[in-house]
Amino acid sequence: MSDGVKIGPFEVLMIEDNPADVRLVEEAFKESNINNNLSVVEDGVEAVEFLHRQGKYANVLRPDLILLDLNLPRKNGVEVLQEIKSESNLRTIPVIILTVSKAEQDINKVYNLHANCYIIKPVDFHEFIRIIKGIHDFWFTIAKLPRG
Amino acid sequence: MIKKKIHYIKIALIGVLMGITFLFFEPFIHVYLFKKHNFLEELFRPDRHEMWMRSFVISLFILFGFYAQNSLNKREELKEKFRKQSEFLNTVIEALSYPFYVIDVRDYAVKIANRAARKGTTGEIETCYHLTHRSGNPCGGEHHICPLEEVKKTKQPAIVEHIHYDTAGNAINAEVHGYPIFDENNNVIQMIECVLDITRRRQAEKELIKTIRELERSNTELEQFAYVASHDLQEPLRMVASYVQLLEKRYRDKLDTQANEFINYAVEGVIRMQRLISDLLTYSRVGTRSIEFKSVSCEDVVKQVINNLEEAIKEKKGVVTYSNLPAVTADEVQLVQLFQNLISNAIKFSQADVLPRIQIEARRQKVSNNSMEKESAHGEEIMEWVFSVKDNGIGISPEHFKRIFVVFQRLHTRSKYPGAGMGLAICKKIVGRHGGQIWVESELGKGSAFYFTIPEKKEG
Repeated sequence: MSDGVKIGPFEVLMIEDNPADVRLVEEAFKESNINNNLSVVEDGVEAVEFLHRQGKYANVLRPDLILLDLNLPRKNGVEVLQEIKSESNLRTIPVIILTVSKAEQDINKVYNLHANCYIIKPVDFHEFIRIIKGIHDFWFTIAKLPRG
Repeated sequence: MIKKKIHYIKIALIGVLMGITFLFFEPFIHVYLFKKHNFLEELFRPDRHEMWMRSFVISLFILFGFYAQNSLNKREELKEKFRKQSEFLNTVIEALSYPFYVIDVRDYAVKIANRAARKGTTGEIETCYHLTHRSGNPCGGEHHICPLEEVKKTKQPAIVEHIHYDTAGNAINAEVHGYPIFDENNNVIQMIECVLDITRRRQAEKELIKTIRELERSNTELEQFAYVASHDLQEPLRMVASYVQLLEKRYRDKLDTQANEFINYAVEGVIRMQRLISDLLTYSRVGTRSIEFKSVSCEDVVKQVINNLEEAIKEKKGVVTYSNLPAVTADEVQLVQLFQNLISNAIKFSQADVLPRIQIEARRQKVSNNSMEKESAHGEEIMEWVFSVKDNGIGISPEHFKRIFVVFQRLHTRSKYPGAGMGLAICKKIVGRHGGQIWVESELGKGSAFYFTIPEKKEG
């Protein structure tokens, strides 16, 4: 209690425009018996509103983890990443880039902008479940998260 | 000098001889014409000294005559020689197929212009700029450097490029060569000018550049297309694979074995497609990387590859050895890819009951007949490294030696040996990009040896 470390259930914000991908993540969580609260926004502009708790997002909880896709409409993933990492009250939230691109320049760019890690979405679903479970295990049981 | 002296001595002797002859001539005439009786008496008469004087003077005149004649002859000879030489030079100048001028550097007046230079002109030729540029002023400025000024200034031959106009008024790219002629004080007084028509050369150059640009553009487009296509194809694939697998997981109890089989085939198909696209992407990217060749240690590369393939090697209990591998000028990432494809193939296509043994060697040799260039621009022999990756695997039948390097060509069923059939095609593209060749020697059931060459290049 007093050491300021949070224990579950964790709030996960997923910024992803493909509902099929969102569903996959949900199912992957389910298959791994993970009980997290998954919030979803479809594009970068909504993401920023959510994080600033503006408009319809006035009563949301601060996410403990952000899953960010790079290919987003309106505001792209890189811009969103930059915004999150530039605001003092938001940049402590770990941002996991979850995307399809294998390109070295994308990976480099994203780490340069202080993304916490870069994960390539696999084709194989079993692999995907393993990854999602891995994310949960690492960030929520191994790593310690700061209090918001 | 001695020739001249002998010449004069000769003339002098003749003169003396002539004098003596006339000395005897007079008394002779006296005896026969004037009927005097004694030859000797006449010869030695008291007033003989007058006769001697007369003879002497006459012989002097005759001597002089000979000398004058000789000189005249010599002059004629020289003139003739000079004329012949002039004619020869003239013929040479006229025969030149390109315009040839001799121009006075002080007033730009054309002193000599050969036939090629006069072609198409009418009447008098005055100044060089009038003749070649139909202009009223001498050439000047950066883009039309006057060769006379250059040659006058530097006292050296100069080459400039001008635009000249032919009789029809068409522009010609002209390479103007100027060569100085000096006077006694080492000032340039005249210039020899030759004009070469390089219009065709410049045209060819322009077309070449245009073609290269076009090819570059087309290449970039193609590579971008391949990249985008492969990239975008992966997305829907992922959807299909993931959801079919999800279906299988979620409804496992509700599906019979047949359904599961169907799902397996579906998923397999997707995964294969994904690998294919990934390989295609790699293949297309071989060309897109900018050509940054550096010195790369092949030993380090092979070590890295062995590391990358650790699992596969361990699984088959394979042994990979290498010896004396050099450093070459190459693209490191692609070299890793090349060795990795070859070595992983060697592991993959091993015989069932034989532990795979793979040997990598290199030797240096003169560029062989197979390769394109045998000499560098300076005429030195180009050397190359021939690498060999030898295995004791299942081998390849000779009729397939060429086919295997073609994209998507496979020799075995997928169940026996997985793979899209791109590995060797990628190897061939990489080797080609480095200016080398790749080929295989093999015996079915014994093993294969893959050879490739990388020419020695200077960095940069």
